[in-house]
Amino acid sequence: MRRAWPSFEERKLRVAAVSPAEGVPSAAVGGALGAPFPCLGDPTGEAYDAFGLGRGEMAQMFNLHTLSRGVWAYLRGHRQTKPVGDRSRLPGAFLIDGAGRIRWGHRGRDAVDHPAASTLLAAWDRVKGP
Amino acid sequence: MMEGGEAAEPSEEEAAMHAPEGINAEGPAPEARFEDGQGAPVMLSGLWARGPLALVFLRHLG
Repeated sequence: MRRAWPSFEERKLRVAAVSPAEGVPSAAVGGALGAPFPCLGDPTGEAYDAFGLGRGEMAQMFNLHTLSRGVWAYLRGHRQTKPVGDRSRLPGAFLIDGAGRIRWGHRGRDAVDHPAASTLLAAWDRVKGP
Repeated sequence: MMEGGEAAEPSEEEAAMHAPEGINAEGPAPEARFEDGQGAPVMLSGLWARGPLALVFLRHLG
């Protein structure tokens, strides 16, 4: 995300992260995700529910895909600290235009299924219109 | 950074992602209330009213 940040700014596409916990100071997100955008809290899970992001089953939290991604992240030097919030929530991402319309969305099929920054940018280029 | 040229046609999988189950693609985003880092309420409508938004739901921080 850090490397892609200029491309988001170039497109005037703002980013807000949502955590299934209380709001997190932006500085902490900058450290965790590598970009200067706000991380908002949704401790009740109402927003996750509103966007159709449910709780994962055991097979969605622990499978070959999630384990391999975990190993890959570990080998790249990422270390998981104590998780906060509802750990069973599945990830997702949505592109919303300035009129409040959802233009694109992705709902995670398992715990690590979230679109890369490049996917978000390509999707926005496809759907943003003139 | 994006590669140059036109974006490829979306795959069947990508097309499915474009219309998430339970959410009307091209339809209005549901209203949602969040908390900022100080616990103050933030409405989703107030975020997109300032311009296009990528709303990224994390599994958790940690």
